[in-house]
Amino acid sequence: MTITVKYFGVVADITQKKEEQLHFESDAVSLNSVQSKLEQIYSEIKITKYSFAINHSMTKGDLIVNDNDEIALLPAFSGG
Amino acid sequence: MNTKRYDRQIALHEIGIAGQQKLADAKVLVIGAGGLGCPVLQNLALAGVGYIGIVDGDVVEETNLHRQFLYTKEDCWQHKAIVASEAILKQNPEVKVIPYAVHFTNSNAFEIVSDYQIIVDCTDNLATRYLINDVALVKEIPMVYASIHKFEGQLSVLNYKNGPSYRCLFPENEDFHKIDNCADLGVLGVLPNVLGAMQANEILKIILGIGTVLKSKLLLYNGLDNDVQAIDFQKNEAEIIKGTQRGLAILNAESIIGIESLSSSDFFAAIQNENNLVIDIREQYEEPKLAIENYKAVPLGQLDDFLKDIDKKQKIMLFCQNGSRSKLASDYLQKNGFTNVFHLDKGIEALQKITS
Repeated sequence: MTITVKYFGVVADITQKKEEQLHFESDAVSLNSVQSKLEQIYSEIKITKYSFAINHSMTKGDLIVNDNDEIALLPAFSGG
Repeated sequence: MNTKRYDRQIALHEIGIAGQQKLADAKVLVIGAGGLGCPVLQNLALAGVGYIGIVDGDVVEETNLHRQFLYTKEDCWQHKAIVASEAILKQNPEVKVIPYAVHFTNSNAFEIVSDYQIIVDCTDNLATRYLINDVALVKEIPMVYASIHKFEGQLSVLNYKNGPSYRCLFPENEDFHKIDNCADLGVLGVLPNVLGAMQANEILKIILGIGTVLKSKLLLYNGLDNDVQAIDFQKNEAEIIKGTQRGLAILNAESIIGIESLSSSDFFAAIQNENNLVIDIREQYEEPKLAIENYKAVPLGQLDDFLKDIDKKQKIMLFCQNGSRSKLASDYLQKNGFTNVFHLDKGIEALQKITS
Protein backbone atom coordinates (compact mmCIF):
# COMPACT_ATOMS: atom_id res chain seq x y z
CA MET A 1 0.00 0.00 0.00
CA THR A 2 0.99 3.62 -0.42
CA ILE A 3 0.45 6.49 1.99
CA THR A 4 1.22 10.21 1.76
CA VAL A 5 3.18 11.78 4.60
CA LYS A 6 3.14 15.57 5.11
CA TYR A 7 5.72 17.42 7.17
CA PHE A 8 5.36 20.76 8.98
CA GLY A 9 7.53 23.19 10.94
CA VAL A 10 10.71 21.77 12.45
CA VAL A 11 9.85 18.31 11.08
CA ALA A 12 9.91 19.68 7.51
CA ASP A 13 13.24 21.32 8.36
CA ILE A 14 14.60 17.85 9.20
CA THR A 15 13.11 16.00 6.22
CA GLN A 16 13.93 18.87 3.85
CA LYS A 17 10.65 18.23 2.04
CA LYS A 18 6.99 19.05 2.54
CA GLU A 19 5.61 15.64 1.66
CA GLU A 20 6.40 12.25 0.20
CA GLN A 21 4.86 8.86 -0.42
CA LEU A 22 5.79 5.78 1.59
CA HIS A 23 5.21 2.20 0.46
CA PHE A 24 4.46 -0.82 2.66
CA GLU A 25 4.20 -4.53 1.83
CA SER A 26 0.94 -5.11 3.71
CA ASP A 27 -2.49 -3.52 3.13
CA ALA A 28 -2.68 -1.94 6.58
CA VAL A 29 -0.04 -1.03 9.16
CA SER A 30 -0.06 0.49 12.63
CA LEU A 31 0.79 4.15 13.11
CA ASN A 32 3.65 3.03 15.34
CA SER A 33 5.23 1.12 12.47
CA VAL A 34 4.89 4.18 10.21
CA GLN A 35 6.66 6.16 12.92
CA SER A 36 9.45 3.56 13.16
CA LYS A 37 9.97 3.68 9.43
CA LEU A 38 10.16 7.49 9.48
CA GLU A 39 12.66 7.38 12.35
CA GLN A 40 14.83 4.99 10.34
CA ILE A 41 14.88 7.43 7.42
CA TYR A 42 15.21 10.60 9.50
CA SER A 43 16.98 9.84 12.79
CA GLU A 44 16.62 13.45 14.02
CA ILE A 45 12.84 13.21 14.34
CA LYS A 46 13.39 10.78 17.24
CA ILE A 47 14.35 13.81 19.35
CA THR A 48 11.54 15.99 18.02
CA LYS A 49 8.07 16.27 19.56
CA TYR A 50 5.09 16.32 17.24
CA SER A 51 1.49 15.18 17.03
CA PHE A 52 0.06 12.92 14.32
CA ALA A 53 -2.99 13.53 12.16
CA ILE A 54 -4.50 10.89 9.89
CA ASN A 55 -6.66 12.22 7.05
CA HIS A 56 -6.84 15.72 8.62
CA SER A 57 -7.84 14.47 12.05
CA MET A 58 -5.53 14.50 15.07
CA THR A 59 -4.91 11.05 16.53
CA LYS A 60 -4.59 9.78 20.06
CA GLY A 61 -2.74 6.50 20.63
CA ASP A 62 -1.87 3.88 18.02
CA LEU A 63 -4.23 3.52 15.06
CA ILE A 64 -4.35 1.54 11.83
CA VAL A 65 -3.15 3.27 8.67
CA ASN A 66 -4.70 2.14 5.39
CA ASP A 67 -3.88 2.46 1.72
CA ASN A 68 -4.12 6.05 0.40
CA ASP A 69 -4.24 7.57 3.89
CA GLU A 70 -2.62 10.94 4.46
CA ILE A 71 -0.47 11.27 7.58
CA ALA A 72 0.65 14.67 8.92
CA LEU A 73 3.47 15.25 11.41
CA LEU A 74 2.58 18.40 13.32
CA PRO A 75 5.08 19.94 15.73
CA ALA A 76 4.29 22.94 17.95
CA PHE A 77 5.36 26.33 16.52
CA SER A 78 6.82 28.95 18.77
CA GLY A 79 7.39 32.08 16.67
CA GLY A 80 5.30 35.19 17.16
CA MET B 1 -20.16 56.19 20.33
CA ASN B 2 -19.14 57.89 17.09
CA THR B 3 -20.94 55.72 14.55
CA LYS B 4 -19.61 57.56 11.48
CA ARG B 5 -16.13 56.09 11.99
CA TYR B 6 -17.63 52.59 11.91
CA ASP B 7 -20.24 53.29 9.22
CA ARG B 8 -18.87 50.77 6.71
CA GLN B 9 -18.86 47.87 9.17
CA ILE B 10 -22.17 48.88 10.77
CA ALA B 11 -23.57 48.64 7.23
CA LEU B 12 -23.02 44.86 7.39
CA HIS B 13 -26.33 43.43 8.56
CA GLU B 14 -24.41 40.85 10.66
CA ILE B 15 -23.00 43.77 12.69
CA GLY B 16 -25.26 46.84 12.74
CA ILE B 17 -25.40 49.28 15.67
CA ALA B 18 -25.99 46.42 18.13
CA GLY B 19 -22.83 44.64 16.97
CA GLN B 20 -20.79 47.82 17.13
CA GLN B 21 -21.96 48.27 20.72
CA LYS B 22 -20.81 44.70 21.51
CA LEU B 23 -17.37 45.61 20.19
CA ALA B 24 -17.33 48.82 22.25
CA ASP B 25 -18.16 46.82 25.40
CA ALA B 26 -15.59 44.08 24.79
CA LYS B 27 -12.42 43.61 26.84
CA VAL B 28 -9.57 41.84 25.05
CA LEU B 29 -6.08 41.12 26.39
CA VAL B 30 -3.29 40.77 23.82
CA ILE B 31 -0.15 39.05 25.12
CA GLY B 32 2.87 39.82 22.96
CA ALA B 33 3.13 43.02 20.89
CA GLY B 34 5.46 41.66 18.22
CA GLY B 35 4.89 40.30 14.71
CA LEU B 36 1.46 38.83 15.51
CA GLY B 37 0.55 41.40 18.16
CA CYS B 38 0.91 44.45 15.88
CA PRO B 39 -1.76 43.41 13.34
CA VAL B 40 -4.03 42.06 16.10
CA LEU B 41 -3.83 45.32 18.05
CA GLN B 42 -4.31 47.56 15.05
CA ASN B 43 -7.31 45.60 13.78
CA LEU B 44 -8.99 45.49 17.21
CA ALA B 45 -8.53 49.23 17.77
CA LEU B 46 -9.71 50.19 14.29
CA ALA B 47 -12.79 47.96 14.62
CA GLY B 48 -13.67 49.75 17.87
CA VAL B 49 -12.98 47.05 20.48
CA GLY B 50 -13.54 49.20 23.55
CA TYR B 51 -10.97 47.97 26.04
CA ILE B 52 -7.64 46.53 24.91
CA GLY B 53 -4.84 45.35 27.22
CA ILE B 54 -1.30 44.93 25.86
CA VAL B 55 1.24 42.79 27.72
CA ASP B 56 4.87 42.87 26.60
CA GLY B 57 8.01 43.29 28.69
CA ASP B 58 10.32 43.75 25.70
CA VAL B 59 11.60 46.93 24.09
CA VAL B 60 11.52 47.80 20.39
CA GLU B 61 14.65 46.76 18.47
CA GLU B 62 15.72 47.65 14.96
CA THR B 63 15.40 44.00 13.85
CA ASN B 64 11.66 44.17 14.66
CA LEU B 65 10.97 47.01 12.24
CA HIS B 66 10.63 44.99 9.01
CA ARG B 67 7.46 43.33 10.30
CA GLN B 68 6.20 45.08 13.46
CA PHE B 69 4.55 48.05 11.78
CA LEU B 70 3.40 49.92 14.90
CA TYR B 71 7.02 50.91 15.59
CA THR B 72 9.53 53.28 14.00
CA LYS B 73 13.27 53.67 14.37
CA GLU B 74 12.72 56.48 16.90
CA ASP B 75 10.91 53.98 19.17
CA CYS B 76 13.95 51.71 19.57
CA TRP B 77 14.68 50.76 23.21
CA GLN B 78 11.24 52.02 24.32
CA HIS B 79 8.78 49.54 25.83
CA LYS B 80 6.69 47.88 23.12
CA ALA B 81 3.55 47.89 25.29
CA ILE B 82 3.76 51.68 25.71
CA VAL B 83 4.67 52.52 22.10
CA ALA B 84 2.02 50.15 20.73
CA SER B 85 -0.67 51.65 22.97
CA GLU B 86 0.20 55.18 21.81
CA ALA B 87 0.25 54.06 18.16
CA ILE B 88 -3.18 52.44 18.18
CA LEU B 89 -4.70 55.25 20.27
CA LYS B 90 -3.52 57.66 17.62
CA GLN B 91 -5.38 55.61 15.04
CA ASN B 92 -8.52 55.37 17.15
CA PRO B 93 -8.68 57.63 20.24
CA GLU B 94 -12.15 56.31 21.06
CA VAL B 95 -10.92 53.02 22.55
CA LYS B 96 -9.27 52.46 25.93
CA VAL B 97 -5.83 50.88 25.87
CA ILE B 98 -4.05 49.57 28.96
CA PRO B 99 -0.32 48.85 28.54
CA TYR B 100 1.41 46.33 30.82
CA ALA B 101 5.15 46.75 30.16
CA VAL B 102 6.04 43.49 31.92
CA HIS B 103 6.49 39.85 30.95
CA PHE B 104 3.46 37.61 31.52
CA THR B 105 4.57 35.29 34.32
CA ASN B 106 3.19 32.96 36.98
CA SER B 107 3.31 35.75 39.54
CA ASN B 108 1.25 38.32 37.60
CA ALA B 109 -0.86 36.24 35.18
CA PHE B 110 -4.16 36.17 37.05
CA GLU B 111 -3.82 39.75 38.22
CA ILE B 112 -3.39 40.99 34.65
CA VAL B 113 -6.10 38.81 33.14
CA SER B 114 -8.58 39.96 35.83
CA ASP B 115 -11.83 40.65 33.95
CA TYR B 116 -10.76 40.40 30.31
CA GLN B 117 -13.10 38.22 28.24
CA ILE B 118 -10.67 36.96 25.60
CA ILE B 119 -6.92 36.31 25.72
CA VAL B 120 -4.95 36.57 22.49
CA ASP B 121 -1.75 34.55 22.36
CA CYS B 122 0.82 36.44 20.28
CA THR B 123 3.82 35.20 22.25
CA ASP B 124 7.03 33.74 20.87
CA ASN B 125 7.70 30.97 23.37
CA LEU B 126 6.05 27.76 24.50
CA ALA B 127 6.35 28.34 28.25
CA THR B 128 4.17 31.47 28.09
CA ARG B 129 1.75 29.71 25.73
CA TYR B 130 1.11 26.89 28.24
CA LEU B 131 0.75 29.49 31.01
CA ILE B 132 -1.86 31.42 28.98
CA ASN B 133 -3.65 28.14 28.26
CA ASP B 134 -3.82 27.16 31.92
CA VAL B 135 -4.98 30.62 33.04
CA ALA B 136 -7.64 30.62 30.30
CA LEU B 137 -8.85 27.19 31.49
CA VAL B 138 -9.27 28.39 35.09
CA LYS B 139 -10.93 31.66 34.02
CA GLU B 140 -13.07 29.80 31.47
CA ILE B 141 -12.33 32.30 28.72
CA PRO B 142 -11.25 31.65 25.12
CA MET B 143 -7.66 31.89 23.94
CA VAL B 144 -7.12 32.94 20.34
CA TYR B 145 -3.89 31.26 19.34
CA ALA B 146 -1.49 31.74 16.45
CA SER B 147 2.16 30.97 15.97
CA ILE B 148 4.59 30.92 13.07
CA HIS B 149 7.56 28.96 11.82
CA LYS B 150 9.46 30.39 8.84
CA PHE B 151 6.78 30.56 6.08
CA GLU B 152 4.18 28.52 7.99
CA GLY B 153 1.51 29.54 10.47
CA GLN B 154 -0.88 27.78 12.87
CA LEU B 155 -4.18 29.25 14.07
CA SER B 156 -6.87 28.00 16.43
CA VAL B 157 -9.43 29.21 18.98
CA LEU B 158 -8.88 27.26 22.20
CA ASN B 159 -10.91 26.82 25.40
CA TYR B 160 -13.88 28.20 23.49
CA LYS B 161 -17.35 27.04 24.58
CA ASN B 162 -16.10 23.88 26.25
CA GLY B 163 -13.79 23.07 23.33
CA PRO B 164 -10.26 21.63 23.39
CA SER B 165 -7.22 23.45 24.76
CA TYR B 166 -3.63 23.93 23.59
CA ARG B 167 -2.58 20.93 25.69
CA CYS B 168 -5.05 18.78 23.72
CA LEU B 169 -3.09 19.68 20.57
CA PHE B 170 0.39 19.40 21.98
CA PRO B 171 0.53 17.56 25.32
CA GLU B 172 3.58 17.90 27.54
CA ASN B 173 5.65 20.06 25.28
CA GLU B 174 6.64 22.71 27.78
CA ASP B 175 9.85 21.03 28.90
CA PHE B 176 10.98 20.89 25.36
CA HIS B 177 13.28 23.66 24.27
CA LYS B 178 14.39 22.60 20.82
CA ILE B 179 12.02 25.01 19.11
CA ASP B 180 13.67 28.16 17.90
CA ASN B 181 12.09 31.58 17.48
CA CYS B 182 12.16 34.18 14.69
CA ALA B 183 15.52 35.47 15.90
CA ASP B 184 17.21 32.19 15.01
CA LEU B 185 15.05 31.06 12.11
CA GLY B 186 14.22 34.23 10.22
CA VAL B 187 10.77 35.37 9.15
CA LEU B 188 9.22 37.14 6.18
CA GLY B 189 7.30 40.10 7.62
CA VAL B 190 4.08 39.40 5.75
CA LEU B 191 3.55 35.98 7.38
CA PRO B 192 2.87 37.16 10.98
CA ASN B 193 0.77 40.00 9.53
CA VAL B 194 -1.44 37.46 7.74
CA LEU B 195 -1.78 35.25 10.82
CA GLY B 196 -2.36 38.23 13.15
CA ALA B 197 -5.12 39.55 10.88
CA MET B 198 -6.72 36.08 10.96
CA GLN B 199 -6.54 36.10 14.78
CA ALA B 200 -8.26 39.50 14.83
CA ASN B 201 -10.98 38.09 12.55
CA GLU B 202 -11.65 35.23 15.01
CA ILE B 203 -11.73 37.67 17.94
CA LEU B 204 -14.29 39.93 16.24
CA LYS B 205 -16.46 36.91 15.36
CA ILE B 206 -16.38 35.70 18.98
CA ILE B 207 -17.41 39.15 20.26
CA LEU B 208 -20.11 39.60 17.62
CA GLY B 209 -21.37 36.02 17.80
CA ILE B 210 -21.28 35.61 14.03
CA GLY B 211 -19.85 33.09 11.59
CA THR B 212 -18.05 29.88 12.52
CA VAL B 213 -15.28 30.21 15.08
CA LEU B 214 -12.17 28.06 14.55
CA LYS B 215 -12.94 25.75 17.49
CA SER B 216 -11.62 22.15 17.49
CA LYS B 217 -9.67 22.93 14.32
CA LEU B 218 -6.03 23.77 13.75
CA LEU B 219 -5.62 25.87 10.62
CA LEU B 220 -2.30 25.45 8.84
CA TYR B 221 -1.17 28.12 6.40
CA ASN B 222 1.90 28.01 4.19
CA GLY B 223 2.75 31.37 2.66
CA LEU B 224 5.23 29.94 0.17
CA ASP B 225 2.70 27.93 -1.83
CA ASN B 226 -0.67 29.11 -0.42
CA ASP B 227 -1.35 25.66 0.99
CA VAL B 228 -4.15 25.97 3.58
CA GLN B 229 -5.62 23.06 5.50
CA ALA B 230 -7.58 22.47 8.67
CA ILE B 231 -6.88 19.59 11.05
CA ASP B 232 -9.71 18.45 13.34
CA PHE B 233 -8.85 17.75 16.95
CA GLN B 234 -10.78 16.74 20.03
CA LYS B 235 -10.81 17.53 23.69
CA ASN B 236 -8.43 15.40 25.75
CA GLU B 237 -9.93 15.34 29.25
CA ALA B 238 -6.68 14.30 30.95
CA GLU B 239 -4.92 17.33 29.43
CA ILE B 240 -7.79 19.67 30.41
CA ILE B 241 -7.51 18.43 34.01
CA LYS B 242 -3.74 18.81 33.99
CA GLY B 243 -3.95 22.39 32.66
CA THR B 244 -6.70 23.37 35.07
CA GLN B 245 -4.80 21.98 38.05
CA ARG B 246 -1.65 23.79 37.05
CA GLY B 247 -3.63 27.01 36.55
CA LEU B 248 -5.24 26.70 39.99
CA ALA B 249 -1.83 26.11 41.60
CA ILE B 250 -0.56 29.33 40.01
CA LEU B 251 -3.67 31.22 41.12
CA ASN B 252 -3.29 30.04 44.72
CA ALA B 253 0.42 30.87 44.82
CA GLU B 254 -0.31 34.34 43.45
CA SER B 255 -2.93 35.15 46.05
CA ILE B 256 -0.51 34.33 48.89
CA ILE B 257 1.57 37.42 48.07
CA GLY B 258 0.20 39.97 50.52
CA ILE B 259 -0.44 43.22 48.70
CA GLU B 260 -2.16 45.93 50.68
CA SER B 261 -5.01 47.03 48.49
CA LEU B 262 -7.31 49.81 49.59
CA SER B 263 -10.97 50.22 48.77
CA SER B 264 -11.97 53.43 46.97
CA SER B 265 -13.29 55.06 50.14
CA ASP B 266 -10.21 54.15 52.23
CA PHE B 267 -7.93 55.35 49.47
CA PHE B 268 -9.86 58.62 49.10
CA ALA B 269 -9.47 59.22 52.83
CA ALA B 270 -5.76 58.33 52.83
CA ILE B 271 -4.79 60.63 49.97
CA GLN B 272 -6.06 63.65 51.90
CA ASN B 273 -3.09 63.14 54.25
CA GLU B 274 -0.20 65.18 52.84
CA ASN B 275 2.41 62.93 54.45
CA ASN B 276 1.44 60.10 52.12
CA LEU B 277 3.22 59.94 48.78
CA VAL B 278 0.46 59.49 46.20
CA ILE B 279 1.62 58.36 42.75
CA ASP B 280 -0.34 58.05 39.51
CA ILE B 281 1.61 55.37 37.64
CA ARG B 282 -0.36 55.65 34.42
CA GLU B 283 1.01 57.09 31.20
CA GLN B 284 0.70 60.86 30.76
CA TYR B 285 -2.16 60.68 28.28
CA GLU B 286 -4.45 58.58 30.46
CA GLU B 287 -7.61 60.18 31.81
CA PRO B 288 -9.28 61.06 34.14
CA LYS B 289 -6.76 62.86 36.33
CA LEU B 290 -7.04 62.79 40.13
CA ALA B 291 -8.91 65.83 41.45
CA ILE B 292 -6.37 66.68 44.17
CA GLU B 293 -3.10 68.59 43.85
CA ASN B 294 -0.64 66.81 46.13
CA TYR B 295 0.18 63.80 44.01
CA LYS B 296 2.95 62.82 41.58
CA ALA B 297 2.50 61.54 38.05
CA VAL B 298 5.22 58.96 37.45
CA PRO B 299 4.57 56.45 34.61
CA LEU B 300 5.40 52.85 35.51
CA GLY B 301 8.57 52.83 33.41
CA GLN B 302 10.02 55.77 35.38
CA LEU B 303 9.03 54.57 38.85
CA ASP B 304 12.38 52.97 39.66
CA ASP B 305 14.25 56.16 38.93
CA PHE B 306 11.77 58.34 40.83
CA LEU B 307 11.90 56.20 43.99
CA LYS B 308 15.65 55.76 44.24
CA ASP B 309 16.02 58.62 46.75
CA ILE B 310 12.82 57.89 48.67
CA ASP B 311 12.95 56.46 52.21
CA LYS B 312 11.92 52.77 52.13
CA LYS B 313 9.59 53.38 55.09
CA GLN B 314 7.72 56.21 53.35
CA LYS B 315 4.01 55.48 53.03
CA ILE B 316 3.37 55.19 49.30
CA MET B 317 -0.07 55.05 47.69
CA LEU B 318 -0.15 53.91 44.05
CA PHE B 319 -3.01 54.03 41.61
CA CYS B 320 -3.66 53.32 37.94
CA GLN B 321 -6.72 52.93 35.70
CA ASN B 322 -8.21 49.68 37.00
CA GLY B 323 -5.87 48.52 39.77
CA SER B 324 -3.94 45.89 37.87
CA ARG B 325 -0.76 47.84 37.11
CA SER B 326 -0.72 49.42 40.58
CA LYS B 327 -0.86 45.94 42.13
CA LEU B 328 2.07 44.84 39.97
CA ALA B 329 4.00 47.96 40.97
CA SER B 330 3.20 47.45 44.69
CA ASP B 331 4.44 43.90 44.46
CA TYR B 332 7.62 45.10 42.77
CA LEU B 333 8.25 47.82 45.38
CA GLN B 334 7.72 45.40 48.26
CA LYS B 335 10.21 43.00 46.74
CA ASN B 336 12.64 45.91 46.55
CA GLY B 337 12.42 46.73 50.23
CA PHE B 338 9.63 49.30 50.48
CA THR B 339 7.66 48.39 53.57
CA ASN B 340 4.69 50.73 53.50
CA VAL B 341 3.11 50.38 50.04
CA PHE B 342 -0.59 50.51 49.28
CA HIS B 343 -2.54 50.61 46.07
CA LEU B 344 -6.03 51.54 45.00
CA ASP B 345 -8.11 48.44 44.36
CA LYS B 346 -9.90 48.61 40.97
CA GLY B 347 -8.14 51.88 40.16
CA ILE B 348 -9.29 55.42 39.48
CA GLU B 349 -12.33 54.08 37.64
CA ALA B 350 -13.72 52.86 40.98
CA LEU B 351 -12.68 56.08 42.73
CA GLN B 352 -14.60 58.17 40.18
CA LYS B 353 -17.76 56.30 41.12
CA ILE B 354 -17.59 57.35 44.79
CA THR B 355 -16.44 60.93 44.18
CA SER B 356 -18.81 61.84 41.34
